[in-house]
This record gives sequence, C-alpha cells and structure tokens, in this order.
Amino acid sequence: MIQVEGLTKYYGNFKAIDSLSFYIDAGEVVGFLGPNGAGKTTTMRILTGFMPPNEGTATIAGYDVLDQPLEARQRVGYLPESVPLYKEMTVWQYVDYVAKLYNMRNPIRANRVDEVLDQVGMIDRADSLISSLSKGMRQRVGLAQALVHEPDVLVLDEPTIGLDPGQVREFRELIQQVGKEHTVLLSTHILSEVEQVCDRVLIIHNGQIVAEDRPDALSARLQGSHRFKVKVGNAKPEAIAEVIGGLPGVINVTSTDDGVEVLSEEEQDTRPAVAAAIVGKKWDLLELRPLDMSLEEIFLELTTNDRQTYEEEG
Amino acid sequence: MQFFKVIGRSLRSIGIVFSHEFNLFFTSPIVYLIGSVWLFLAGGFFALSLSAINTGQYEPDMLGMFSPMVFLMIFMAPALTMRLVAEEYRNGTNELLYTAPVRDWEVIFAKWLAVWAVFSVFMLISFVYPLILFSRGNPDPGLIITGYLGLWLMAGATLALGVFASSLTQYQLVAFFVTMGTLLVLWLAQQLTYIITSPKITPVLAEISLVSHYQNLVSRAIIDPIDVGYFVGIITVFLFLATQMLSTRRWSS
Amino acid sequence: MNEQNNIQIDRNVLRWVSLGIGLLALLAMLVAWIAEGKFSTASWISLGVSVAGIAGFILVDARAFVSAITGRQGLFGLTTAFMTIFFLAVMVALYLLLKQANIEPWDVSESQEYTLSDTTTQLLSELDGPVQVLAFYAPSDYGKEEAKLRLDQYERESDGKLTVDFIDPDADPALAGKYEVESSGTIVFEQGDQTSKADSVTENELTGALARVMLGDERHLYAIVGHGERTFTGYDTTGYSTINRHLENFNIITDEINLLETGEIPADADMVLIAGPTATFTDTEIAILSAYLDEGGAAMILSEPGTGGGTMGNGVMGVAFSPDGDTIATGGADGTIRLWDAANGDEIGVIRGHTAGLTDVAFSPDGSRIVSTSIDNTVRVWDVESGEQLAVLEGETAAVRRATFSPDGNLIASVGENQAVNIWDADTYQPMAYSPLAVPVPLMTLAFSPDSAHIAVGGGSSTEGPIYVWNTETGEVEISEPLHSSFVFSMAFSPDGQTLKSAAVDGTIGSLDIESGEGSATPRYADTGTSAIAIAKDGTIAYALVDATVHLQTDTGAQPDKDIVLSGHTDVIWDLAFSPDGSRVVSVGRDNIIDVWNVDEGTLDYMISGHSAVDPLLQYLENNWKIRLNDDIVIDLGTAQQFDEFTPIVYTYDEFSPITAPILNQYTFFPDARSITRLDTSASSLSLIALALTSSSSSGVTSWGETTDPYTVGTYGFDEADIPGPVTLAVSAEDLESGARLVVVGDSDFVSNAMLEYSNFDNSQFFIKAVEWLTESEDSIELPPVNFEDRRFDPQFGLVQLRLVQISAACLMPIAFIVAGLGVWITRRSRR
Repeated sequence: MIQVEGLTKYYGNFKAIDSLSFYIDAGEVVGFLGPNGAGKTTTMRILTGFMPPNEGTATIAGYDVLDQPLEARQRVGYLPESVPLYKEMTVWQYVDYVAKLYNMRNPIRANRVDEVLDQVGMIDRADSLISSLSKGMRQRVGLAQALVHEPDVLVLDEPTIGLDPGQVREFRELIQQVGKEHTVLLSTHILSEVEQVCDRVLIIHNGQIVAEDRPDALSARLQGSHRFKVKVGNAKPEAIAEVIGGLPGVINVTSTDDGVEVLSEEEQDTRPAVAAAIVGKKWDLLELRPLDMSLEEIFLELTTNDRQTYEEEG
Repeated sequence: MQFFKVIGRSLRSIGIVFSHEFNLFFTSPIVYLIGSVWLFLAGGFFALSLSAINTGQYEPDMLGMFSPMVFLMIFMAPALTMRLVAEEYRNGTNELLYTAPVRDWEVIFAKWLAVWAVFSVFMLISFVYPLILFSRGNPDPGLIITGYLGLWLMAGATLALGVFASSLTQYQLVAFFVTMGTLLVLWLAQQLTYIITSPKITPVLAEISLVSHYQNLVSRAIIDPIDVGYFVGIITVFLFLATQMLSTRRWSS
Repeated sequence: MNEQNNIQIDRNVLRWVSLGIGLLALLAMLVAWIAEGKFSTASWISLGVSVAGIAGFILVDARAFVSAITGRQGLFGLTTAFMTIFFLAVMVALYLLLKQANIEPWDVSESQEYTLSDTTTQLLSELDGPVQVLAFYAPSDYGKEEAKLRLDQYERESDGKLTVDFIDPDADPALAGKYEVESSGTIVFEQGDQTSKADSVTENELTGALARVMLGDERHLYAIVGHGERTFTGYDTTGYSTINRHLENFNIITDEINLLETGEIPADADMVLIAGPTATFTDTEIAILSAYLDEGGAAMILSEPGTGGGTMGNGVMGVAFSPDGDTIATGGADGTIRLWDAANGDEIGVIRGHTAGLTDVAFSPDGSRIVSTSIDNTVRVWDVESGEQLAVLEGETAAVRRATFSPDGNLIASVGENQAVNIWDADTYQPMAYSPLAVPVPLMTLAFSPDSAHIAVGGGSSTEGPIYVWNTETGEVEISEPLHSSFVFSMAFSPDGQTLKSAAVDGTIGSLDIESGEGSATPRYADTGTSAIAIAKDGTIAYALVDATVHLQTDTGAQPDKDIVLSGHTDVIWDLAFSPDGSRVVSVGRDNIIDVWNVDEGTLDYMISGHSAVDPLLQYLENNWKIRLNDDIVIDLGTAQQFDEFTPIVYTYDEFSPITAPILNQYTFFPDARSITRLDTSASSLSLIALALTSSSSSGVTSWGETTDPYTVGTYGFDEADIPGPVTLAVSAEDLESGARLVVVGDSDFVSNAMLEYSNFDNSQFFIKAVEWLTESEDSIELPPVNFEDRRFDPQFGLVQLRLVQISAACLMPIAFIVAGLGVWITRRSRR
C-alpha cells in the first residue's frame, strides 16, 4: 500500500531524512517511533503530498505522490500534529467541507459525515462551533475529517499529544477499531502507544530507520541471554557491580532494589561467567533470571548508542 | 472528453473552496465593517455630486462616486485580502489544503473569486445610487455600465495583488502593508505623471497604470478590449504568482 | 538550536532583501535607460547596485543557494523561475498584440456617440486620395484625449487614407500660422491644396470639414445693402466682420449687393442675407427677391424690432410745414420722407433715399426743396416736386439730428452726434469756409435767427445743456452759455429775433438774449420734462412735454397753469411745427402719429397715422411665407439676470431641425428682439418650423407706458394686446414645391462683433448652421445628426428632499450592512 524508496529531504543544509526506504502492506497498522526531530513528520508530510522530497520516491496505493499527486492524496486521510481546524465553522460543517474537498458527493457525503462523527463520538456536538471544543474533542474531529472520505491509508502524526490519559485511552481504542479496516501509519514518541496499537514498528533516528519489526519480535530478539537479573546475598552492591561489570561481554550493571540487572552484548551469553564469578567470591547466588527488554529500553539502546542499524532478517 | 472531465473536476474543487471562503467572509465582523465603510464613502461621494447634478450643472452620471474609488481600494484591497492565504499558514490549515486532492491554483483562484464576490456584493448594494439618478433624470445607461465594469475589474486586479501579497507571509499585517504599499506607490506614480511629463516615460506609465485604464472605462461609455485585457492580465499575473508562491512554500516549512 | 535558527532567519532576510534591491535596481536601470535614451551614469550605478544585490543574494548564504539550485529543489526552483519569466513575457506579448490588433472598442453609449454614423463611413469610403488631418492641441488641453478618440475612429474607418497627426501649436508656430490656427483645439483637414477647418470634435463638425475639403465647394452669400443693414465689412461693435471670418472657414464667400443698382440677384448666389434693415424696401426690390426665391433660392432675414413700420420703432421724428402752408413734410424712422396735404392729411408723396431712419426735415424758404437728416449719418437735399435727391452734403460723420435752411435761403446747417455744426452754401452745397464749427458736446438742435445772421445750437448730456451762437458771416462764436443742466432738446427764436428760447429735457425753459448773451433757465415744466419747442410768428409758444402733451402758451408772461393743453399722443413727441399763419400746430412722435391741432380752439383737427405703412418686405413675408414679424419687443424676465430683460436667452430649440439640433444643449441670446408668429400654412406648400423659443416668463410687448426721458423707452406693462411667451424668435421655412428656403430671425445683433465676444453662448453656431442649411444643395452631404439628450433632473429635488436623499444614500446602506453583521454575530454567539 505504501512504498518508500530512498527518500531524502533537506531543509536548507539540514538533512531531515536520509535515504529512507520501507514498505507498508494493506491493512497494517504501523508505528513510526522516534524522538522529536527524527524525521517522522517530514516523512509523513512527504507521503501525504504536503511537500516534495529532494530525492527518492513514495507511492500510495500504487500512485506516486509526485507524479500523480491528486490520486495519491485522494487515498490518504491525514491528521497532522497541529490539527488543522477552521475555528469559526461548526463540527459538522468542517467535516463536510473536508469531505467535499475529497470529492465526496451528496447524498453519500451527508450520511458519511454523520457516520464518521458517530464513530468518533462527536455526533452530539455536531452543531457546535469548533472554537468551543476541548482539545480532546478537537482531536476527535480531526480524526473524523481524516476518516470521512474512506481513505485507503490513514496517516496520523502524534495523534495523542496533549490529551489526558482518559482521552488517550479512548483515542487508542478508536485507532484500534479503525485499524481493522484501514492501513494506518501513526507516529509517536510514546512507546506504550506503539506497543498497544501497532502491528509493526519503525524506529527512526536522525532521519534514518534504525529498527523495523513487530513490537513483540523486537522485544523477543533482545531478550533472554541478553538481559538477566541476579540476586546476590552477602555482598555489598558496589562490590557486586564491580565484579560483574568487569566480566567480558557485560555491557552494563545496574543496581536495583532487589538485585542487580546485567546487560550483556548481543549474542553473548554471560550467565555462566557471572554465576561462576559470584560463586567464586563466596557470595550467595539467590536468583538468576532472564528479563524481557521493554521497547523503551530497546529504543533507548538503539537511539542513544550509535549502533549499526538493526535489520530484520527474513 | 478527458479534457472536459478535468475541467469539470477543477471547477468543482474551485466551487467548493469558493463557497467555503465566501461563507467564511460573512461570518466575520470584519467584512461588515469594511463593507459599511465602503458603502458609506461611496454613498457619501455620490451624495456630494448629487447637488450639482440636481441643479443641472453637471450631467447625471456616477463619476462623483467612481473617481475616488482607486484611492479607496488602496485601503480596501489589503483589508479584504490580508488574511486570505496568510491565515491558512498561521492556522495550520495549510496542511489541510496542501494534502487535499486540490491543486494550488484552484485554491488561489477560488480564494480570489470569493473575495471578488464579496466586493461584488458591496457593489450590488450600491446599485441603489444610479437608481436615484434614473428616478429623476435620464442618465446614459451605457456610461453607468462601463463605470461599474471598470470598478469591478479594477477591484479584481487590486484584490489579486492582495491575494499575492497574502501568499508571501504568514503574518496578516505584513500582507496588509505590502498590498497597501504597492498600491500606494502605483497610485503616486500616476499622480506624478500629471506633474512630470516626459515624452518617453509618460506614455509608458499611462500604459501600465491601473488608474489610466480605470479612467478609460469609467469616463467614457465605450468598452475598449485593451482596458479589459489589461485588467484580466493583471489578475492572471498575480494569481499565477500567488500559485507559484504556494508551490514554492511547500519546499520549506 | 534557537540561535542557529535566528542566524538562519537573519541570513535569510538579508539574502532576500539583497535580491529585492538587486531586482529593483535592475528595473531602475531600465527606466533610466529608456528615459534618457542612452546608458548614462544613472544606468551604470543602477546596474552596479543590481549586480551587488544579486551577488549578495548568492553569497550571503552560498550553501543555501547551491542547495537551492541543485537537486530536485533546484530543478523546481529553476523551473519555477523560468516558467514565471516565460509567463510574464507571454502576458506582455499578448497585451502588445492586443494593442496591435487595434480592435474597435464597443460603443455602449445610449446615443452611440462614439460610433461613426453611416454618413461618415460612407464619406470615408469615397475618399479618392489621401487626406491629412492636423489636430492642433496644446499639451495641457484636456480636449486632446477626446480628440484622439474620435480621430482614431476616422483613421480606422478610412482604411489608411486618412492620417492624423497631433501638433502643439506653441511648439510649432510656423505650422500653426500656415493654417491660420488661432487657438488650441482646431483641426485642419487637408487634401491636396484644399483645406478646411473644424473647431470642435463632434462628428457633425469633423465630417462637415471632411466633406468640405473633399468637395471643395464654395458657396456664395450676398448681403443686401441700401437700407441701413449691417455689413460684413463693418469692424465696429455692430458690424459683421467676425461672423464673416467664421463663414470663410466654412467656404462661404460673402459679398454685398444693392438690388436697386443691380436690378437682380446674381446667378451664383446660394443665398441672400438681409441683416437688420432700418429703412423700408421698395416694391421693386421685393419683386426681385420674390422671383429669386421662387426659383428655389434661399434667404436669411434678420429684422430689428421697431423697423419696417408699426408702432414700436421711433415713429416720426421730424415735421415741417411748407412755407405756403399747404404741405406737411414728415421724416420717419422708416427712412422715408412723406408729404401730406395740410388741409386733410392725405398722403401726397413718399421720398426714399436715406438708408436709415430720418431725424429731421425742413423746407427751403421757397418751398422747392427739403433738407433731411438721418441716423445714416447723412444730410440730403431733395426736390419736393420730383422727389429727386439733389445732394448729399458732406461733413457729418455720425448720426445727424437736425438740419434747416437759413431764413434767407442761403445756408443749410446741420448738427448731430459728431459734436460740430456743419454749414453749407444752399446753392453750391459746398461747406462754408468756417465749417464745421466744433463743440465739445453732441448736439441735438439748431435754429437760425430770423435775420439769418446768427445760428444757435444746443445739445449736451444728462448733466449739462450748453447753447452756442455763432455769427453766420464770420463764423465766430458769439455766445457760449451753459444755460441748462441737462441736454437741450429743442430751440426756437422769438419772432423778433431777440430772444432764443430753449427747451431742455429736464423741463427747464431757457431764455437767451442774443444781444447781451445773457440768459436764464426757468424750471417751467420741471416735473414732466420737455422734448420740443416751437414759436409761431405771432409769438405763441408750443411746448411738447415728455408726458406726450402739447402745451400752448399764448401769452408771453403766462404761467404753465394757463397753458392750453393738447392731448392725443401716446408716446414721446419728437417735433413741433407751426403753420406759417400760426393757426395750426402739428406734432409728431414715437407713437407714429401726426397730430394737426387747431391753435385757437385748442382741438385736434385731424390725425395721420404717419409712417406706419408696413414695409413691403414684412408684407411679403406675411403674405407669401405666412411669417409675421410682430410689431413688438420681447421682454424676458426669466433670463433677465444675465443681461437684461430686453435680451432674451434661448435654450429651447427645435429638436429635429439640422439648424438647431447641434445646439440643443447650448445657449443663445438676442439683444432687442421681436417675436415671430407662424400663420396658417394649410393652404400652401410651406413648412414652417419654430427654431428658437424664449422662456415662459417672457412676452412680446406691443406698447409702452409712460416715460420721463425721450431717449429711454417707457415702462412696460403686460396687457392683453401683448403676445404671451414663450415666443418664437426664429423660424425656418421651406417651400416644398419650389425648394426655396428661408430663415427669419427677430433680431440682427446676435451675431454682431460685440455680441460674439460672449464665448459661452452659441450665437455664431446658430447662424452658421442656418447658413449651411440655406445653402445646402443636392450635391451637398447630409451631415450626421447630432444627438443631444436632455439628461437633466426634471423635476429637480427640492432642497429638503435633496438633503434627505443625500443622507440616506450615504448612511442607509452602511447601517443596513452593519445591522446584518450584528445579526450574524448574535446568531453565532447563540450557537455556542
């Protein structure tokens, strides 16, 4: 459904995205994950036809965003980070206007507007001026306008920013619902969101994709031998940290309330060495168990260390 | 066939944006303020000329109202157009328009049409004044027609300039001053020709001057295709430039 | 991050401003180059600034520039730039093409005033050779734009045969002089060596000038003279020299003709003009005119009020009894001397010859000759028997007031406006050596002493009334006495020749002793004023008072209350004469009446309505053309504020006549006019059109009220005899069978030199259009009609109404609009 090849974009001298490539199949709900300034919004803007890339191509449902802009845009429903609303219009008028812009005609359109407002739960406020709505409601109206023309692809840029937790939860449920029938690309820097909602995650950093996989697959890859918890008795935490930290293959040792977390290099099982070291010191090895890596940690790892891009195999 | 389909689509898009903009105009108090000021001034000038017309000193025509119109538009045009494009940028709704399946030129054209239509509403209301002339006298209808045509086209041209200025920036005030400044300079240039007459420059200035083409239409009951062509050209040029501006600004955001 | 952005922004602003300056400088360079025709210092500087600006744009942020011109963005940028330039170039090219195409503008005016009529396009298509049009306009002349517009139309339609050039007459005085162009706004047409002029840019004028230059025809206008008419060679205020020049511009050649001398109207005459005759026409002349018109000729007849008979003129101004008492001679304002049988008042004869109104007649002592004076500035002597003119005495140069023979028959003396006394030998008609005797005032009256040794004259002004007496032998002045304080109107010697009695206009009667030279004036009739005095041989004095009565004083010492009063006249009495035997006294006056009174009984013997026979010219007009020149004077109160009530201003014209259609919106005025009545033409082949009408507050006054000054008309009161306004002042007539055409106007001054000075009136246009219509032939082009709509407010708004309309126009709409806005605002608020 979405194909991106070698996408590059400069703002003056600043390279915002660097030779980006990825594919999104129909029906997938994909998350763009990355810190601020990573290039998420830029990529989305290119996909939705807002701005042209300096290099590379992007196609939506087979239509190139540069060569066939109208057809491509027609198939995209876009909710930008700054929800574009006309404050002096009513909710209904606004969504209807967007529907019109996306070539919907009556009588289908009128029904559809009602439908989509109902879907996002704003049907009761259909005749209210947008200026009178709260942030959460506005967000929902924004989603409505993205949905109203039944696009093949939904592109949502940081859709839950600024919402309170309750609203956030509601919104995510909406997206989950929506995701059943549309291809969705949403961007966020909130990991839990991606975990909960997305089928696949693309991690972006400095304009490049540094990781791409299903959320659980990503977690799975980096778990097990990679990270484990050790509980040691009879020893001072600093000493433990020092001993274990010095072992080859150990990256990191963190003390916590109930023990020590050891992070070791990929592909290296340091558990035997650690156990041996502890026993050798006459300390009590009370517990040794593997830890799952949260997406957050993966994320941080990937993004704070200048590591090689982790590529999916197979 | 394909061609007509394409035209049809464009017309539809234009129509949609047009009616949106047009309605938007009439929901803001600004338009009513500007409109009433314009009607007051137009009516005022007309009223002033009525005295001389009444006594038969002057022929009954609308020149009293039309003459100061160019000067009025120096302030009217920026006031009406300043928010047209700039606000979309300010608001963030430019993202909506840029990503919707509408072309840049369709948006610009529709916006200009909308503000021109708003002005046309003001103009229509002012039709009451020539009615006063007809009630008691026998004015030349041809002259009144060309007068309004000149006003309509001149307004269209200054408004197109305003649309262009609005497309340059996100700050309405900047757009306002750019439009007003440009119109003021043009108007002053015309006034200068009355003082400085150089056989080389003056005819050129007269050719490109908004005022002279306007005067041609307003003061004589003839429609010269050159004058009409001039205004159409100005409108086309500025709408084109505004469209280019929109396309250019996509690259940097 | 922020700081970087700031620097970025500043740099950005800098580079764009730099580019802007660079482009503006480029524009300035172009302007300077065009203006100065070469690449001057100003251009160089601009070019330099321009280059600096563009360089700045590139260099200030070189990287941005480079990245802007490379890659897809660069491609886009370049494409946009080229497209924009290309687009602008195309637009400019299209515009220039449009200009080149020179498409005819669409004329939406109601009267199609910007479109050439069929007549003009037809004429242009018939152009057989190139015609050059030179439009002389000063650069500051606002009419230049309109001239360009119209002449463009001609040029366009002419298919290249007609070329137009605009010339500044001040910049090229030689060229202006060559074509005798006097003012800006003149257009000269030239084809070969034919030229014609137009002085306005209406289609009518331009096509007229074009036609004249193409056809090169001349037309001949003959002005009839011999009756005191205005002449084209007259350069004084009453002359027609100015209008003559206008006629020349229209290829109309003027000439004078005296019908009595030539006996016929020349064959090449396209029309004749009769411009304000004061003396009557003879039947012979009328016959010539009639024959000419019957052949399809054309004439313009301009008639002054009070001429041609009737009662509104000056009437009868001079009277004299023949020495034998059998004949009474009168001199009338109609230019004739009439002789009447003194016994019964029958008319015996008419003597014609003067070309203007008579002022005095006197018999020679032997009764065989009559001397007469006139405002035609001549003194003439006639043979009573044959009526032949014996002599025209030379010496008078202005209107002559009085003349008489000396009692011994040797001398003839005359006085008049030229402030001198002329004395001739009555036999040789040669002036005396001492003649003329100059005086410092205009003279009104004279009298010889009974012994012919002295001659007394009197005259003056409204402030003085001196009397002078000379010795007729030596010519030396003997008395010079400022006896009265207003002008002396009449005088007579006492029968013994000792005393000279004089009557002044203020009613004072003077008595001057000839010997001593002393005298006094008594205010005998100070409350009425006097206009004439006569003394019978027995000493009876007759006074004519300004109240139109004759008072007889039979006793030298008698007071006015003892006078015998003779009433009968209705207007000022100009002259009195006693019969030689003193039994009768005759009075004549402005009312055109000759009253013969019985002195002893103080009654009227009989009355003659003197010179009121209608001029054959007026009779001819009435009988043959059904046009009556009314015997009235037009008083217009509606237009009196411009000049006076005797000068009607006309703005109502016939809409369709080609004479008046071009001036429908203009004003004309007619100083001292008479009205015209169209009579029933149903039994004839005549078509009469009233061309010009006065306002509704006007009237043709047929009689005067009282006056206190002989030289001013009396008051006028409107009565039933008057002709109510609006009255017709000009009429055009056409005999549909013979094709003869006539234009009759009740005034001749409207195109005199002095009146044409009033440039905001269209008198000359009216005259010229009439001449053009009269001289039109089958060959001449029918010029396109001029359409003038009267667009004015009718009825006008009253002041209160006007203010109401003005205020509502200015305020109603805006208020309504604001109310609408408020309504919208409120409804929106409620939506929340």
